[in-house]
Amino acid sequence: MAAARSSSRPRGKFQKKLERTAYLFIAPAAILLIIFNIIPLIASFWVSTQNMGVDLSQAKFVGFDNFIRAFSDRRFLQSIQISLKYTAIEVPLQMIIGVLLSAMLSKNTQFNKTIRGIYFLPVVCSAVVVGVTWQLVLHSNIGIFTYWLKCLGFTNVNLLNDPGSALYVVVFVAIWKTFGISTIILVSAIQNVPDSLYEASAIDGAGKIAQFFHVTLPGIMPSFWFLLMTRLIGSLQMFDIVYTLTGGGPSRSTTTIVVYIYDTAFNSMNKMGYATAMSEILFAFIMVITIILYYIMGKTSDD
Amino acid sequence: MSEKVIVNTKKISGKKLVLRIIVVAILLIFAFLLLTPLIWMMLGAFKSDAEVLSYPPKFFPVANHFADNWKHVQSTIDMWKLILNTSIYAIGTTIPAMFVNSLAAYAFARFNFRGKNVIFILFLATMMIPFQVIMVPLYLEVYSLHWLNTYWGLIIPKIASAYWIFLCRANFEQLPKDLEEAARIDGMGEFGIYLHIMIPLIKPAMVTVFLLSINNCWNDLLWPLIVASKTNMRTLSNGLAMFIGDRTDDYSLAFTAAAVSMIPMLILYLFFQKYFVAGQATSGIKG
Repeated sequence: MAAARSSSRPRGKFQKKLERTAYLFIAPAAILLIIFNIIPLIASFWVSTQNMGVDLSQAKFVGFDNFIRAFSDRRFLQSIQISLKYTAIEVPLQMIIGVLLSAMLSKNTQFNKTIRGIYFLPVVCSAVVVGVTWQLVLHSNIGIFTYWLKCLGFTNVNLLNDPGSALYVVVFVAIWKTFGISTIILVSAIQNVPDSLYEASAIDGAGKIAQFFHVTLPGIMPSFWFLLMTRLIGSLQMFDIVYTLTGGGPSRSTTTIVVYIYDTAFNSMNKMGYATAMSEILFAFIMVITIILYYIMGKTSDD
Repeated sequence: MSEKVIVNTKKISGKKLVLRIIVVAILLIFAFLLLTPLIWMMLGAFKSDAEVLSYPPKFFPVANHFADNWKHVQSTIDMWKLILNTSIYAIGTTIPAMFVNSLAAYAFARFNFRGKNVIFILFLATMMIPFQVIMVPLYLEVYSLHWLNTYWGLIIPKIASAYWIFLCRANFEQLPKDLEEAARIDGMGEFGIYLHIMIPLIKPAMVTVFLLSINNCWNDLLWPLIVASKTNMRTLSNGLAMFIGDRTDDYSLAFTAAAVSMIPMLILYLFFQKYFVAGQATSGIKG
């Protein structure tokens, strides 16, 4: 776009001065990104091979021991299982809800705009507000939802303190907090599908439902994939809501990978090397999933 | 042909109405599920403990006990200090972030220089790094800088963001080509052109960055949890997580502190909703 000075060979003094200015302009951001993103990333590979706490001078090289240890650590394996279960439930539900609601909300009527504004509201609520709110709403003594569920005939409503149900509550609350974003991303995708495609399919005699499957869905595929990918990555990194809603309990039933990593690094143990090794495993896992998804995405869009 | 169409629409209209009612019902159920917990939590800030405990629970408060509740909160938690720390973190990060990131974005959008594309891709690649992977080394870095439990440690690492650079760059690119040429002829310096001509032209994007960045910092949990764990350095997020986390049984404390911590962002959202929505819808989800 900014092709005003697109000639690539330097045009004397003035061009050189502009180049220097450009470097000067990106310097502050570049320096900060290098110090606080790129160096920590490189350092993380080193930290993961150390047996160390906070004190750098006490670090001891242990090679791949931290990685080997992770795969025989029952708690880590359990946290992987919990994160996978969480992701396997949260992501499909979130995507289905997002697609259905966005299809219902795609027209810009005043009613739809208001509804979208409401759905988006939890975005400005911190995880703490969400966590505290739902702890209270589902509280076994005073919770308003607990009371309403009892009125509906459910007995023994103690959803957050039961290891069998706590993870499902976390899934529910996570979806509650984010389905508005998913919906709005898909609404703007639907609105970008050209009208001519709908007109063409209407001439072919397609009904509303058929149109949804044959025009809308293919049209929003790029946004759908993007959303699926970000949701998958986000779910595997789940931390905030678990930390504020259940703290990983009861009986570790909601201790996801990142909650376990956080505990290992910062809660009393201070096992920095080991925690980082587990982060690297998570990172590798996320990279593999991203690459696989890119591959599938490329294939489907070729069709 | 046209007659046929008319007949068809008349036939459908009954079915259509039913469908419409179902759609509206579904949308309202979701809206109800979304709003009820939040409204009930906010109303809880006005209830006395006895009211909260009464059975069956009442949705609306009978009398206004907010003043008592607020006094009780303050006797337990230094709320003003938490609010002050959160404001310093949010504003201290956002103002430099608007400047640093838009300046880099401006260079990427309007200048030609060697290595431009490579550097830009490297910048973008930092968005792919999950925070959990760098959180321990970053903590160690802040620790060795002696920045733990300081505003510097909270703020400086969070200023640069490829996400904001990406957002601003797209907006700078859409401006007409010859703007800076004219200003240069008038003898304006490059920095002056950026500050006085370009920034005002991408004001909506700057407002979006401002609001989303303030909101991100206000609600950020993990970073303050790690680097600002000392009581007098905590922000609302990690402070309340620590204080209320195990103590939701102190009902008026939990209700009131949560409600109060949410109000500033709620007000921002009510006034600037379209910026929040636009920021998320165009550039996807962050974090």
